[in-house]
Amino acid sequence: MRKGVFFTMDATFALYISLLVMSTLMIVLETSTNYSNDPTVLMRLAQDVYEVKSYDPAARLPTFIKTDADCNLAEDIGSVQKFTYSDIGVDDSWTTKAGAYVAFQKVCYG
Amino acid sequence: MKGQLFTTDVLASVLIVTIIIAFTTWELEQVYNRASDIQFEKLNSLATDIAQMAVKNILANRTMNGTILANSINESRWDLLTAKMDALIIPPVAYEAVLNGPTVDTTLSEIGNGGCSYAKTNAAVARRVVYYYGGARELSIKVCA
Repeated sequence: MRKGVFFTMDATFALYISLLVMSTLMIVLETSTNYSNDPTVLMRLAQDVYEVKSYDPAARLPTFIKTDADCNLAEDIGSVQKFTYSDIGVDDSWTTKAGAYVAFQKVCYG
Repeated sequence: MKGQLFTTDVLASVLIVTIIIAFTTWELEQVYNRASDIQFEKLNSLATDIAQMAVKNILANRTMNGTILANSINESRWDLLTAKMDALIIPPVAYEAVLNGPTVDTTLSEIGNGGCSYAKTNAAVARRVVYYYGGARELSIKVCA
C-alpha cells in the first residue's frame, strides 16, 4: 500500500512537470509563429519611392516611410535595384561618362 | 494512510480535469485565432493586389503615345478605381481608398462603399507612395470585413 501511494504521488508530480514543459513549449511555438512584416510590401514601397524620385528627385516622402541612411538601424528593410541608362553619369574614376548605372533604393517604416 | 490515498486521488483527478479544460480552451482559442488570421490574410492579399493595380495601371497617368507612367496619379482616373473596386469587393466586405496630402491629416481624395467605419472585426491596409501634383503622396487602400 505504501509503495502504491508513493507511485501515485510520483506519477502525479511527473504529470505536473510534463504539463509545465508542454505549456512552455506551446508558448514558445505560438510566439515564433507571429507575423513579421511582409518583405514583398517593403520591396513594392522601395519600387514606389524609386518611381516617384524619377519624377521629382527632391520629393518629400510621406512620414510613414524612411529611406537610405535613415534605415541603417531599422529591423525590416526593403530594397530595389535598377539598371538605368544615363548620358550624364559618374563612373568609378569620378569622370562624367554615359552608360548603364545601377540605381539602388532602400526603404523602411518610419 | 487512507487520507493520504484520498488526497492523492483527488489531486490526480483535479489535475486531469484541469488539463482537459485547459486544452479544450486552448484549442478553441486556436481555432478562433486561425479563422481570424485566415480572414486577415485574404483581406491583406486583396488590399495589396488592388493597391498594386491602382498605382501601376488604373490610376496611372498616360503619355500621348499611351505609355503608362507608373505611380504618377491622374485624378480623372479616380472613377475607374471606384468602378473596379465596386466590381471586385462585394458586401459584406467593404473598402476605403484615401489619397493623403503632404501630411497624413490632409485628405485629397477619398472613395469607399461606406462600410469600413463600423461593425467590422477585421481590416487590412495597403499603403503606397505615389506622385501627385508635384509631390509624393500616400495612397492607402483599406479592405475590411
